[in-house]
Amino acid sequence: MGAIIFVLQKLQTQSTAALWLILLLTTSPACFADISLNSNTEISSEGYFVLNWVSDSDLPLVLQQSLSDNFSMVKETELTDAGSITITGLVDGLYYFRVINTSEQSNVVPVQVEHHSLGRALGFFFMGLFLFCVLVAIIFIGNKREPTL
Amino acid sequence: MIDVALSPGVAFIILFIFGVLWIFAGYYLGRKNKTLDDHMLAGRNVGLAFASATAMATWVTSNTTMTAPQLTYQLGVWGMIGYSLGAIGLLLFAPLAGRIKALLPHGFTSGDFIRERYGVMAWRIFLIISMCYAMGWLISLGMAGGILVNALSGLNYHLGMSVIMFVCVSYTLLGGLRAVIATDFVQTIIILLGVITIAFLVIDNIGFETLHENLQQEHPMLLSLVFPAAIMFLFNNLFFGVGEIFHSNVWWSRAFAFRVNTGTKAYLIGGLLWLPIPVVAGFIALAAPSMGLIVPSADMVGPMVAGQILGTTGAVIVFIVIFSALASSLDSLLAATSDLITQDLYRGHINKGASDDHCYKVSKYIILGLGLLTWLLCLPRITTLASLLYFTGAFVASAIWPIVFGLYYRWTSGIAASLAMLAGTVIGLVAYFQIGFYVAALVSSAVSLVVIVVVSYFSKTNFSFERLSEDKGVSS
Repeated sequence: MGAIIFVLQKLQTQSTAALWLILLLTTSPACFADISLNSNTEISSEGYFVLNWVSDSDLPLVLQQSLSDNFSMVKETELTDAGSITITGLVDGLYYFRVINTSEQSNVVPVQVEHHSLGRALGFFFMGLFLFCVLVAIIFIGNKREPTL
Repeated sequence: MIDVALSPGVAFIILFIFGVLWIFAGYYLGRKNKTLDDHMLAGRNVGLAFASATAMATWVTSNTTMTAPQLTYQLGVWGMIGYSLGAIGLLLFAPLAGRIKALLPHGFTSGDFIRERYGVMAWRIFLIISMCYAMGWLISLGMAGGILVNALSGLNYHLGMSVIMFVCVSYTLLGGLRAVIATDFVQTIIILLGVITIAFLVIDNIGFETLHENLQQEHPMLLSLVFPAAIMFLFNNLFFGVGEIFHSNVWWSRAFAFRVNTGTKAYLIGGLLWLPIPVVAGFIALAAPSMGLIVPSADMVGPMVAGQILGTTGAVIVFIVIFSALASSLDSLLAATSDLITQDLYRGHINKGASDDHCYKVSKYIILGLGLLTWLLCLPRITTLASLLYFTGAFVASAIWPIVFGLYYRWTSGIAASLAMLAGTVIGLVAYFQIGFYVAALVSSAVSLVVIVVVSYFSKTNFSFERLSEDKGVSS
């Protein structure tokens, strides 16, 4: 990172604001890291979502999943070079993800899994059941009344 | 790159052999087509065996072979069971098919019925709904072809999609509905044998205990019976399937094409044959987590798992089964949508005096144009299969009640049917974006029912069904 700032200074990028911006950005590990990770959503109501990663390195990558932001307990998945993975079947909770290899790690991506309430789900279920019964009854009665012309 | 089970060369050879086979069948069967009735409706004389096979094969599609595993992977056991409820659409259409054939002995399309029964405004709204659905389904089928080839062999998505589109457009163009139904018969046999073989190999290769243990620990919601989104999905999928079948010209054209007294039995047999297929197709997706498979996109899970578990032989079977399933639906949809465009848009709006011979020629250009348009829209892989497909749920479910009430009850009015389709579609789309894809069809259907009953109460008609039997399409 120092080299980048040095080059920029050499190029006489003297604006203080610009330099501060560059310094601020370099404090974020994702910005110039060789591995970056992102998710297609921050909150999932269904327990599934997609994580995408980009890596410049040829080293094998591992996805770490944890319920704590310091990754004290992790579930690890060896990644291929597919560039994305679909995570499914998670229960409610705040999950943290990062991708690592032997020398570096990506930014941390948090995803909140918050399923719909069971009350709402059952509301839709019974609405569907009611509509289905109405449909069957209407076809059945219609056939009885108007079997042919 | 992803791990693949087939070499690109093998995949290409399979595509080539079956492609040539289907195109030759299209050419051979198309020689008998002399009139518009022959081309569009296979002479209106299809017997029970072919009728049942085409009903079942057309409903086994990318939805069943690729979206069923996707939904199982996303929504678990309920997703798999919910998907098999799609059979209800075929079973409930069985009595309707008999009624349709009796009411409209000279009908060509579902649009003919809506126009005669409800008037021009409802007809135009219905055509917009039908075209949105048909294009959504066509694109999803084209995309599924590309995804299938890519997931199993690593062949480029665009190449696989283009070859499958070319094959299906070619034989539909050459053979019309006669070729579509005949190839569906062969494809049904391939699909049934293939699915039985895959089910046997999966059970033989994976222990239920390993699978269950892994899911319980790592993906518990997939086994949960109180998975909220999956519970919401159950009846949504049922109504989506019912909406697809009740409104779509794919099923109406078959009802017209089947011999008298054949439609009801054919749709019942087709529905019962179809019922177990999504369960088998969906089940294999549950093996993905215990295999440590990296699934880039949920709609790739079916072919990926099959390829990994079953090795090269299994992958070849899966490839042939899904290719057959795709082809059997893509050809049907191309034929039925071109009928709708020829009959309802071209003859109904653009060239009202067009003769049958002229329309016969025009329908061929329309199949070609539809194929080209679908190919262009498939080029950017915009979304996953399920998201694309269920987007159309809000459209089709709004047409369920206008169709059912219109076929059996004289009091349903044109204005009520029009408002029901409009309100159902709009509010269903709001639900799609505000809640999720798994409620759009259900909400659309509920709104449509309320609107059609309430508005018909204030604008009752006393429609005479005899008018329908006199209808000979827009040309009359």
